[in-house]
Amino acid sequence: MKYLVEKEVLYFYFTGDFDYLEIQTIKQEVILILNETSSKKVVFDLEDIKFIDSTGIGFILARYKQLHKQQKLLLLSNISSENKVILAMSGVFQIIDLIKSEVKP
Amino acid sequence: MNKMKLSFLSRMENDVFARTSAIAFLLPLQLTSQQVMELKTIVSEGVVNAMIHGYEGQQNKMIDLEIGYDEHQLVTIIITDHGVGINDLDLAMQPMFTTKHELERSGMGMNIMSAFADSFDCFTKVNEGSKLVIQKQL
Repeated sequence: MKYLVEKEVLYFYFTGDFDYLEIQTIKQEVILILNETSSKKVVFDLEDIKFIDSTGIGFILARYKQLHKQQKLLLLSNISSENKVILAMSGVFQIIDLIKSEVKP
Repeated sequence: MNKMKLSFLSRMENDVFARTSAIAFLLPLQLTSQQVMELKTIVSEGVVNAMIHGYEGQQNKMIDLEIGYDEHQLVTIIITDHGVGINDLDLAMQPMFTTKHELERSGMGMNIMSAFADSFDCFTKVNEGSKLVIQKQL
């Protein structure tokens, strides 16, 4: 997992799978960074995520809620068409917008 | 007609083993990338539920994964645990319902499995375990 700030937007770049095991390994660090950031806007770049299950969806929704409490915005970018299906089915796009981002680490 | 059976410990790292093994077994069916995603998701949701809910996180229990397919490309996936079972199946099937909020999983697992499958049945008995029988027509 990498992250960077550009033009006051915090970008996260995740790799691998958004499954139970991998979410466990990144969750606490992401929570901490989001609590400490001064950026009002956060982008999760999912281009290198191969697989998302309901644990991954739960993680995204929980981070959305965490940021929402701090009046901050979460956006998702660069999601594969397969992963879009499961996120759409779970209603994620009803609350979180999808953007196309060219900002890369 | 072909079938296989895997038994593995309820350790978290076996989630990825289970779903990739399932796809490896089904390779002769020339799956599309969408079908691969759906089948991996079905297996993962079922296996992780067995680990977290069926066995309540105990890592020394066995989970069985059986997969078969026939000449009409009907795939059958059976996931069995001998854990605590599900007390109220109707409640467990409700979207966003979860008994373990602290894990921040979405409570969508059963609904996702059911949506990606053509038939989805759960047989469960308290203190005896759960068996998911899922069929998907390719």
